[in-house]
Amino acid sequence: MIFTLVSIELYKIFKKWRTYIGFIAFGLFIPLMIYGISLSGNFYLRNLSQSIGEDFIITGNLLNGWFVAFLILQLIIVHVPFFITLVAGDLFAGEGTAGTYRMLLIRPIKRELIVISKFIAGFIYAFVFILFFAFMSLVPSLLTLGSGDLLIIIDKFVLIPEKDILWRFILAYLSAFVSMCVVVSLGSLFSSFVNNAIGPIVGTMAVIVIFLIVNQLPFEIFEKISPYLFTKYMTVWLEFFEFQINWQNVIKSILILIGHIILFFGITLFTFRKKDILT
Amino acid sequence: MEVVLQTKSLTKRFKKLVAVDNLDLIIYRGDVFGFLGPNGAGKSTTIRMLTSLIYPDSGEIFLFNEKLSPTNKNVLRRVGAIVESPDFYLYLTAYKNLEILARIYGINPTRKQIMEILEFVGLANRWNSKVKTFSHGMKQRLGIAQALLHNPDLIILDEPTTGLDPYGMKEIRDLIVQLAKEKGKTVFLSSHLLYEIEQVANRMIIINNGKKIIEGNVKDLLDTKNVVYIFDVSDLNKSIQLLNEKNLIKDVDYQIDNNKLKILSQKIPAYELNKLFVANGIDVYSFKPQRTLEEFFLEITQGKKQ
Repeated sequence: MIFTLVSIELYKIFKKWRTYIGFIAFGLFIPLMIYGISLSGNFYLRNLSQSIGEDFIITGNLLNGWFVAFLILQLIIVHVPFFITLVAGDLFAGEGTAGTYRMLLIRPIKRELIVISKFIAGFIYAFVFILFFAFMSLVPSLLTLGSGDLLIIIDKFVLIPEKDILWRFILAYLSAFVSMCVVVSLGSLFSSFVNNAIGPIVGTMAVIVIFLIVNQLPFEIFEKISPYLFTKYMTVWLEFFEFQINWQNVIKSILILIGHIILFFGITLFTFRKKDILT
Repeated sequence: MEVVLQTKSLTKRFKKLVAVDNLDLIIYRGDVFGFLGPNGAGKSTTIRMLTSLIYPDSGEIFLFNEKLSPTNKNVLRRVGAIVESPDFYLYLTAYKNLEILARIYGINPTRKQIMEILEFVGLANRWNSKVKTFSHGMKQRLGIAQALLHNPDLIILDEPTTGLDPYGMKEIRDLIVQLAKEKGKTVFLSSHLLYEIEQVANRMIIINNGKKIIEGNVKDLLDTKNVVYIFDVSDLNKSIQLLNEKNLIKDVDYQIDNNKLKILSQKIPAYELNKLFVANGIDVYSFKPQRTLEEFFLEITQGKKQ
């Protein structure tokens, strides 16, 4: 039964126009971004590497597809969650708005199964979206700018050899998928409380943005709170672009993210089981 | 007779408001059961409890002698329902909506089965149209189609004629009669229209403020003997005096309402009373029958009686 329910949920998701907004946006924006970087990326790289230019001799094609894909990966933090939330926020509330809860829940199926199927469908959507995002970031960049070593310049310089890059990207996308599952779970949780998708979408994004700001603020009080906010662990994908990956940190972050998924799922399940359908 | 649906002391509160108050219902196989009450009487809340959309605060629901609970909804397999207006996935076609809703019942309907049911409700020619292009009446008919698709024994219809034009209302009523007579279904029909229930139901209950007011066979409750005649006469006092003089007061119940004489009599026919008034110089401008239940129902729907 769960397979049937998930397939129905997926059918509903992919029959809605809003589902494709993210695909269209990234489908148009990422090639544009690649084109822009290919035009002015060398100037950007020169500026950034000036400070180490006296100590190191940098050779080879650094403005390559991997470098651009890494830059695009930054969109995972805010932009991707937004498009994921557009769908997740509608998973439950959409049924309330349309009045279809009445059609769905008078069927002889346990509400728990409905919740599980909606969550799984949301996760599948997130997976497909990340897959699309990965494809759009990697394939056009590598085709247009070629391959090479990956230079990462954030708070330090890291140079990853070409043969060592692909698996790091794969793990980064997989960990980003886990992060997006937290977004799906939070959006679904909010969505299960109300009958209009706008609230859950705005609410989820507000939580993510506020938590990210708190994570960034260099004040003692926020630094104390920061480890308790799930957004701190959503950047786990960055770990894979350290020269030496701190696996302990990766596992810890992934476990915390999974813990949040379970928590949000549990609350949704508990409240939805008892929810009076009055729409 | 097999009991199809039974509720025992069913109660639902929304904060301080008691929407359904200790409601006992019993519906037998083959019944077309009219569930009548004014707007806000608790009909939809009851139906939502019967279909597991909301859970009662106390009391029990038995469907086919099996208790309905959040952990046991399996018995809903034998129930088809429309709760309030039938809403569908507007971005999907009528066919796809039915297919999806049937699959949730665990059945994989064939194309033939879906088309047959669409044919039955008169929507076969629109099977491939998106529901967002449907009129309210078409959605109601599609609602009936989804309620019938899994061949249920009990069909619960919550005000299925609301918002329809007279032709559409008649169509739905005919469909209900057809379901009961030709397909042998038990129908639980909620309505706020007495004449609608009268036309299709064999048993009925009236509720108001969540409580049962009256229950019984439609025939008995709407018996033509229980008729009030409203006389519009030239002299009310003289009319009452005449009834006194003729010693008829024992046989008739009367009251004056809105300068008209309301008379309930099972012994003296209205035309005899008419003759009597006229023969004694009292002009009768009009007299018209009004059934007691109808009057009673009008009073509660207009809020005169709580």
